[in-house]
Amino acid sequence: MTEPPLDLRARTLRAALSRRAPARPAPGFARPYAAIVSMLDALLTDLPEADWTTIAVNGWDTRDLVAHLTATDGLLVEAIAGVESSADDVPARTAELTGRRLPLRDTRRTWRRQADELCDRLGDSDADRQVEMGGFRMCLSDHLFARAFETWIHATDIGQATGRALPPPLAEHVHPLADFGARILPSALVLTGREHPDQTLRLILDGPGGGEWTVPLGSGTADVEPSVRVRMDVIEFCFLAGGRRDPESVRAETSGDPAVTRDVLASVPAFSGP
Amino acid sequence: MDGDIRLRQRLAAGDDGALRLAYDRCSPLVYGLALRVTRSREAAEEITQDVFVSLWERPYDFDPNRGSLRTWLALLAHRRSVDWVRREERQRNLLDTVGDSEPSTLILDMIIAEETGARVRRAVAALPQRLREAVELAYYHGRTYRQAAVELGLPEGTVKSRIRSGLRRIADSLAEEGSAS
Repeated sequence: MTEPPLDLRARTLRAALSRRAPARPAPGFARPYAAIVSMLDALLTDLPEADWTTIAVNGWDTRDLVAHLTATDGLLVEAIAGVESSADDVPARTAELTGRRLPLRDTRRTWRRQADELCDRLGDSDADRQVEMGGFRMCLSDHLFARAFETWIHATDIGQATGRALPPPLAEHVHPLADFGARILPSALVLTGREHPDQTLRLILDGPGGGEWTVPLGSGTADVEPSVRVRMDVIEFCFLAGGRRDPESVRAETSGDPAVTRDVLASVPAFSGP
Repeated sequence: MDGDIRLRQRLAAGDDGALRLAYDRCSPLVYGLALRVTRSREAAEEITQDVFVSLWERPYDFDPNRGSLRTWLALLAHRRSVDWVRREERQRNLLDTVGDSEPSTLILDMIIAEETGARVRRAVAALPQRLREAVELAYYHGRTYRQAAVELGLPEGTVKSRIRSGLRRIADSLAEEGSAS
């Protein structure tokens, strides 16, 4: 093989990075978000115009989905600056942005620029800061996991609708999202009226980014020996949580009281949006 | 290959370290291939740059389930090199430029990896001359069947069948070598 001239490396890298910006540098807890934003941006790079108006999910086309992400990210940017928002603000802001029908290029650019700004505003010490956005009061790191998660789900929607198979995010980015999904499971059970206060779940998620969690099935603590067990692929779990799998038919291995494990699977998507 | 799957995830995630890694691993292959086909340093540099920019900008075009990163980059480099050669020739107006063949994926799959590349070159060198010159014109110098026919002063059909039997022999000898090793 022939070694290319030495200066070609620098020239090639410079040309590449000027065409597509790398993921925005961000503190650890925002890295899954920054990476998934970059994933979606690469997908949008040369999406033919027709694919921007392909209905991807729930009557929304690509442009609407990107506007929706812009709206919700925007509420988080405001929340960081101290402006709280309620659950109603998410659809209201989305309707406002989709109604504007920005040119396609601006739709993408506005979304990406704001996402980068969001990363720029975060410092390492912000992870535990409590912030209220869209009616949820959580620490900032959880808000960022939720944003990463929604961006991933919609990137997958767009990929599927336009015939492009996206790889899953990196294991180190999937893991905190799966962990977030496992941590909010007790609230999901309470929210959907499926609480089993005396029971504990052993949740085993297989594949890169997976792990094992002991989850109380209600508002209690996880000090009881697990009475039921659910084992499934970590990516399937995430898609289930994103409302993109049917709890009845998703592939999962369960043991223990079937009524309880059914309730667990049915509650995983409780916080999924459109 | 597992390494390629993760590399593509990193490229998709906008990790420029992955681009550097891909360049360091594969640029000799890409540049060497482009240089061999175009016989122009300038063109080979331009093609190398294009290939890696495209990998970075469109990471989803590369599907690790269909073949390795090396195969994919070699395919891109080969396709662009052949285009460059054809463009050059059209400009020089030397030959009839109606393109009538796409490089066979069979041979491209073989040219890919360095180790295979060396075996392919040995297999090509071992061909009888009439087959070898046809294969070399089509695959190393990017000629269409028709251009190769003009250069060899043979009917197009003859050139096509020589290339086909040349490829078959290369495939056979690689398969033999593969099973022997």
